Amino acid sequence: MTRLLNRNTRYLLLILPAILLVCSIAFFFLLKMQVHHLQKEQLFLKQHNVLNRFKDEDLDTVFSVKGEFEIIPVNSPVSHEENIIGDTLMAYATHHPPESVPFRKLTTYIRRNNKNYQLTTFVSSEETKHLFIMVFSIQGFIYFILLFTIIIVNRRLSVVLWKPFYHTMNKLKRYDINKNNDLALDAKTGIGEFDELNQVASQLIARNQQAYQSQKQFVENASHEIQTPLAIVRSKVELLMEQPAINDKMAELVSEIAAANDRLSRLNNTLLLLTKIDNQQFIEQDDIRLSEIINLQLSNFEKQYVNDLPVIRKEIQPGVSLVANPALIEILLNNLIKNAIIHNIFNGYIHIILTGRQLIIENTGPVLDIPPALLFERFRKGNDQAKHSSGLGLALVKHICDIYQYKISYTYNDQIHRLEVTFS
Amino acid sequence: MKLLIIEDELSLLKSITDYFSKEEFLCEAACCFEEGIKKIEGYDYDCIVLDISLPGGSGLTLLQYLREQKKEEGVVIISARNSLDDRIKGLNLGADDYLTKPFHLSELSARIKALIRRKYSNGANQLDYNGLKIDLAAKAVFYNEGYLQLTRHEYDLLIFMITNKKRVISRQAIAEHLAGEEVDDLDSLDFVYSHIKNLKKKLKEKGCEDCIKTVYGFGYKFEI
Repeated sequence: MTRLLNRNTRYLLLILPAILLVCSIAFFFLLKMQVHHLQKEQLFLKQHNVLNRFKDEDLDTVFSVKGEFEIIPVNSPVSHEENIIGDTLMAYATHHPPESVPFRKLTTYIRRNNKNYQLTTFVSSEETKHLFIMVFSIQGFIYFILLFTIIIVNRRLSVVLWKPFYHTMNKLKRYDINKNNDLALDAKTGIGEFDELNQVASQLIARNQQAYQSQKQFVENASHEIQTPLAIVRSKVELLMEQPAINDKMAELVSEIAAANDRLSRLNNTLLLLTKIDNQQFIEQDDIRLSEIINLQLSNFEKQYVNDLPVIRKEIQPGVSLVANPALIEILLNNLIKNAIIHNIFNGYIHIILTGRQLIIENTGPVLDIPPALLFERFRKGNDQAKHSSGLGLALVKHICDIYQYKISYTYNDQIHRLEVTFS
Repeated sequence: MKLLIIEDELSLLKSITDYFSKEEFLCEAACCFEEGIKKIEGYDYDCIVLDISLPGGSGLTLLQYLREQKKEEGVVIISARNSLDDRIKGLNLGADDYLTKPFHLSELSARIKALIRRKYSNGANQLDYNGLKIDLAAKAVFYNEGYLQLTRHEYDLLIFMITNKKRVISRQAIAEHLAGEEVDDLDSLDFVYSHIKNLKKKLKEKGCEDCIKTVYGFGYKFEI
């Protein structure tokens, strides 16, 4: 793709010389015509003068002045035409070096005292040749200057004229709908088209922003509205559990309702969390001692998963810290570690490595049955065994990484899942 | 004990009143802002359960009004909004506790009872139940003068069970009470089972047998 500026220059470089060439050719022929006309006038004037001078004289012999005229007696007129114009060369031995000089000549036949004469007058073409060379070299020079100036001026002007355009484009490039910042495009650039462009772009963005906001608002409101019915179901289930006349079959049904309801409320909570992150409700930042938090979380998990916790190998560099929102980082770490625990195999292990700029969590586990690229998408569940997971854990992790511009990558090699978070 | 429940969702309101009426509570219900104000002005309560979004006005305004009237009732806010801001706003306005919907009734009960204990214990910070004696300040548990060495989780679990004695407590409610709301997969409920098992063993050692009963399908029931 060529930039507008270069394309403009290229067109000018192609078209301008062509036009200049055509014009030059036309100019050459016009000039030549004009010069011939001039010479003709001169020749006729000279002929007139010579005839006047020799009006009453008899001329028996050849009479001539070299380069001016010659009168030759002839027996009969060679041609019936009165005036014949032509070119000729005349040798000048006196010139240094000796050379032939081009002349334009006018030949006519006159009859005097029953005698025929041939009268030829000459004008030199040498000077017109010089004129041509001079005129065209000056013209070439002027053309060159003109071309150069036009292109330079054009480029300079383009840069100035397109400035508002590039300005707008840079702002659009940096625009992030999540950040909800006003684009503040110039309303008055001084150029109608760009004003219009900015206006249209501003309107488009305002509309998108609005749609995005209302969508976020909708998710948040919906999640909040769902909380109350969930609370009702939960309370009714609890009251139902206390009914005296309940049998085992009923108890099983009720407990399944309770479990499904609990799952729904956890899911809803996670969705709420996602919208809260989107709505930037986690702005406060603090210095977070990463090493300590990871150790603390690991011991919490040990308490929680009493029976089937995989072996945990730690290589945690002490004293690692970073600045971020503590709640978000806790969610990030919690989800990553839990992910490694849940999607593990019997007798598996987890390997956690923390360095100053990287957190690597490796765990044994069955092969992923979804493409790794989809791993961080919402509601993507990997393997069947984790049917209780919400499918939002890693989506949350990705979301938090995006906010702080941490790089997260996933690789699978020889039954080892490896998640790598690189802090910027 | 008098309890006022201000909640606009009638079904939930009924659940709460049903649950607490089974215990030593006298429950009054209000389902909108106006009714809530009227009840607060007319009577004194030991504890108020307050929803934030009410028809006719915000629960927070009601709370503010209550504190301006120099009324000292304990207030537990129940709200669908779980943001830190709402929580801080509520607590700053003089709420004693903040519970996010959906909550377990057993959790609400534990919070209310803890609140009432704090407010009206007059220094006698002790829980007694059929020979089980808990010094809440020292976090020490005795059964018939025998000292029980409990871990923090076991202690919390025991308090939770005593405050919900003779009631069915679901495993999920226990899990959330002990680990916070982020308990989010059912596999991890195993830790509830293991804590219960340990607590049972320690109680049995001091002669308190079969006080924690497993209720099939649901969870547990504490009774001595």
